[in-house]
Amino acid sequence: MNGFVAFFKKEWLEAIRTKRLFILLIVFSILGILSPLTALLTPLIIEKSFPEGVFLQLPDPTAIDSWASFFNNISQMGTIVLLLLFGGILANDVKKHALIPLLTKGLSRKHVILAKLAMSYILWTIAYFISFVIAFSYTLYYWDMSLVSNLTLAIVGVWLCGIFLITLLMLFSTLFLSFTGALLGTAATIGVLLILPIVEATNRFNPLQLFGKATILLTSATVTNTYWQIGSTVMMTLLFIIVSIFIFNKKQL
Amino acid sequence: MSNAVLKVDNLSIHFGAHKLINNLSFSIQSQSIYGFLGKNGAGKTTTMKAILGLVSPNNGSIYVCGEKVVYGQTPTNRYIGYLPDVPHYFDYMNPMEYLKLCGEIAGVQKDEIKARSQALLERVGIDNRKKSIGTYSRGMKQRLGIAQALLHQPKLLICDEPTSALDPIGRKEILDLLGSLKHETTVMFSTHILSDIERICDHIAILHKGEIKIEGAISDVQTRAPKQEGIQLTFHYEAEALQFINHLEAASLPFTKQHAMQSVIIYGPPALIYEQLLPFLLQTKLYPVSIENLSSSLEAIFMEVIEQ
Repeated sequence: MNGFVAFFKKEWLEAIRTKRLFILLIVFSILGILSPLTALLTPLIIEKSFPEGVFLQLPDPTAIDSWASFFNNISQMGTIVLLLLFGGILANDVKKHALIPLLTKGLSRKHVILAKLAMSYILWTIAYFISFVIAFSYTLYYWDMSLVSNLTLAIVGVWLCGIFLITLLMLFSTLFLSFTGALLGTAATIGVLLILPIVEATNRFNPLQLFGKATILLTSATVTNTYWQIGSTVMMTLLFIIVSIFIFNKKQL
Repeated sequence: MSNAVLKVDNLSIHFGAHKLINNLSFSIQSQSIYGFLGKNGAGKTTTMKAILGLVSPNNGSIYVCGEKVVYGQTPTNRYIGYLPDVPHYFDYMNPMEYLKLCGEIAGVQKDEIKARSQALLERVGIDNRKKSIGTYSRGMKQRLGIAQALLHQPKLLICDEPTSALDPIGRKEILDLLGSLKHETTVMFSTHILSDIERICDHIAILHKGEIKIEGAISDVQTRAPKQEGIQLTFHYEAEALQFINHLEAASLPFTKQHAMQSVIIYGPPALIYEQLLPFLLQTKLYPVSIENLSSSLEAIFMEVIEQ
């Protein structure tokens, strides 16, 4: 446990000194502001882009549009930033052989993986929470939220999907011990998960549906599928954590 | 023997069909400074990594303070301080922060960590404790490496080529530092520089192609080979040494010679060699970095071993 706490503190220091925390906060704050703003401005922009005299009847934006824009931003831009910032989290330490002196002092490899994951989860949670609070405040200010149902479930689902992606990234990091390998492996898996809805039966178990179907959830009466997806995402995340530790234990450093 | 800090027994490590380490056996007694000498690729680092449980042996066993080393998470590492050949740290930390991390991992008490860190940094000569490690020179990183390796007061300090990347002054400082540890702990260090060994070691093993060719107390090893007269020329590059040998052979000068890496040893009475050799060097336009009389028989032994 000594090792975990000490290494966790090292990860925190690293997040601050390498500006990882700072970048995350900035990007996710912008995404939070941008989401209601996009919903608010989209009709105006569309109107302006048409020649004068053309009459367009656009519906007024609602809270649902604001959240749709939020989930879109988080699942696209947010994911890219997350992958880029966390892609080298293990590879950097391994490539520079910086772990060797610590491992030979009794730090267990399991604690390396767990401390890195825990810190990544916390950073993602902080960034996502701030983004959410900003988007929520603006949406509440501009629109009527009574139209929106299942918001908590949708928000938790997207958060969990982020946790899943970070764990997936760690799995490929332990497998390839390189930034590129981790990124390509994760991107390929995301690709597969994006194609998978062709087979409808898989949707229940597909973690990426938590991203993709978050907006639909806000106006949906049935939430059973989301519970299934949350369940399977939690299971897969736990499995990936165990497998990552297993692989990293076997790697010759 | 009972006070052996390290005992390596019939260690073999293969990489595919390639034998990196072949049936290696040796032991290191408490409070000795043990030099592990060999060319690059002789198997020094692999042996050290096996002692740390970082490499899995195909055969044989290793004991540290009487406990068997197991691959992966070996508990025997609590006895060992390790300085890798080119130590890397977390560049954004300062030395005190890094030593705190090391101390916490090794389970050293909180107030002990601070006291020991300060004492060790003083000892290795690192003054600016607020500066981030990323700005450190190689020599300073090496010194910090020794500090981190000694933090948990190990029974065995393993240093992998601690001097090879340093300038002469840095080298001297590191060697003096290692030499000063003689009565505190046991030091095993690898090098391909013979003079490092002669400067501080009391025991030596010469490793070549994964096998120990010669091992024992320096004084014993030195007496094993009859002291021979001769001179040693060291060139900048091995290619120059080879070229020199070719010229020497073409000119059929009547000397017995040995060659290893950048160095060539020529046997015979020095006066006689100089007389014939100096004009020959001018003529071939091959200028060695140094020419010196053979000072010890270790050089001759080393040459003989690695020439085989």
